[in-house]
Amino acid sequence: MIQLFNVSKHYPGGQIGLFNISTSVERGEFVFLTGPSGAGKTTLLKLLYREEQPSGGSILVNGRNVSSLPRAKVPYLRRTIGVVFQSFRLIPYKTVFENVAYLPRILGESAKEQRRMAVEVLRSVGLAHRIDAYPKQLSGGEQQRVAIARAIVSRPDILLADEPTGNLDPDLSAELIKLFLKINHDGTTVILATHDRELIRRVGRRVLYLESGRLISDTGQVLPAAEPPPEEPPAEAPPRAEPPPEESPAQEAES
Amino acid sequence: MTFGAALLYFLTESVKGLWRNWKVSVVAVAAIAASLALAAAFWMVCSNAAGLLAEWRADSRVSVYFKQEAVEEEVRALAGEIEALDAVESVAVVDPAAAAGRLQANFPGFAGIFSAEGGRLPWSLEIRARPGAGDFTEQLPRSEKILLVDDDRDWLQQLEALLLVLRSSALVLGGLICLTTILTIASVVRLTALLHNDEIAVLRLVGATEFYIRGPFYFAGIAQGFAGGLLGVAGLVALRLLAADAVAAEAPLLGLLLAESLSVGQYAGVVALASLSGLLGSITSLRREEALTFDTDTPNWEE
Repeated sequence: MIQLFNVSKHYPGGQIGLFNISTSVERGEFVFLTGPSGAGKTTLLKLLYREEQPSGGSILVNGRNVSSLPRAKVPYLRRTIGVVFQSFRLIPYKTVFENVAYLPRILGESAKEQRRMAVEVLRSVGLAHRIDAYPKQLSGGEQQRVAIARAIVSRPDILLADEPTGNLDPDLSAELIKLFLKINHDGTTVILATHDRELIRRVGRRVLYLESGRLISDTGQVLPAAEPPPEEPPAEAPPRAEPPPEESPAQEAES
Repeated sequence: MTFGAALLYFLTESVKGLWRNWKVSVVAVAAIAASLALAAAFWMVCSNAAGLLAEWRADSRVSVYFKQEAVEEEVRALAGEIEALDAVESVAVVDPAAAAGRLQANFPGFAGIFSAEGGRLPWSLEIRARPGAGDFTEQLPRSEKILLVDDDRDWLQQLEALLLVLRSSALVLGGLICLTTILTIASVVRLTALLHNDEIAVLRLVGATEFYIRGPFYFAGIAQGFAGGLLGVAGLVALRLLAADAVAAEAPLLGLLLAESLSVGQYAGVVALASLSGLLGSITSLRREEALTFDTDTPNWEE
């Protein structure tokens, strides 16, 4: 479903974002993307939804070469990919409903259908009762769930999440991960970028480890989409191969 | 999304956008209204001046004054020759008695001079040219008995030249005002776009097309131009209704220049031009693709 062939990204000035990445993610897979800050996690996600273009190599999403996609076709690609960010990116002067219903409205759904879709997706994230609230009236965890609802309202094939738990405490993070697992269980491919190694260890899914723009390791652990999500994230579910050790304080300081 | 739904969306979003930025929008609309009212007023003055000149031209004539010794037969013979010219529509013979009567009627004080001196006014001819006829005085028959040929149309030509300058100035002024409108609206639209940068980024993220993203901004430009045009026209009409009579009483010539209002079609043209300028302003503001591309890593997201 997602295939990367020798993908590189160089920024002006010679800075390397990604270097020669080749991997693939199957339909319905749940993959963690991890590595220290500046490793290239966000860059890789941006390449997948064509926020940026690779300097070399090819990226196929559902068989379409994203890197050579004409600019006018990019919106149609993005309608099949939901994206969630650490900073939520909700519009403060819009209600929860309006924040969630962007895509249905773009797709030309009737007002009634927009409402129905928003209610349904908000119910799935446990926020149907806050449909008319404004983002400022919500907690951080609730805001992130609204952002997730916005990303999945039209049932995308792929959900990309860039440090979605970065602004949340551990309890809220755990709840959110359960939500991602549920979405994945419903058939959506999920790629979640995080540097929370404890979270990765507890959930125990495939892990792609990036460092300095290079793919250092791939645990290759693939769970079938049909498998029901666990009630609680598994306490002990180590990945098949251990990702590289934590970065040293010196590395952290560099990034 | 259907065309109707898209139009409704563009309209509601543009109104919301302008409302969020209402102070700037009001100032922009007021500036556009004042500029357009000025341009329309100039147009009205030019239009009235042109009408006035056309009336005067219709009344204009070439007068041929004869010497005292000219006799009626000679005068009438020359009148016949002149009437045969292609450029001439009609020739009226004015005898000394009729001339004295006119003088008495128009300038009672001067009429006494002639009667006191026992003199008389000379014979004369009043020649009305055909519409569009040029200078034909060179074609008039030569005669020793002719004292003076006076062409009324000389000063009319000078006034027409002045009107041409006025009209050219009006065109330049209109062009400058359109340009000002375009730039004003471009600035407001750019500012509105900056205020909406976070929403634009989300729209891009969820898969909105460029047309969908830019549509409300184009509508906002048109709406501002339309509102400015309408307000300017309404202001001008109101001002003319309130002030035209007073101006005519104080300064009759100036009053003549405000006598006729522009037609409904001409006012509609001003509003349409303002709306078009608004659209051009929006297009100018967003013409580059990057105009609506913001750094999504550092917008003013609510954290």
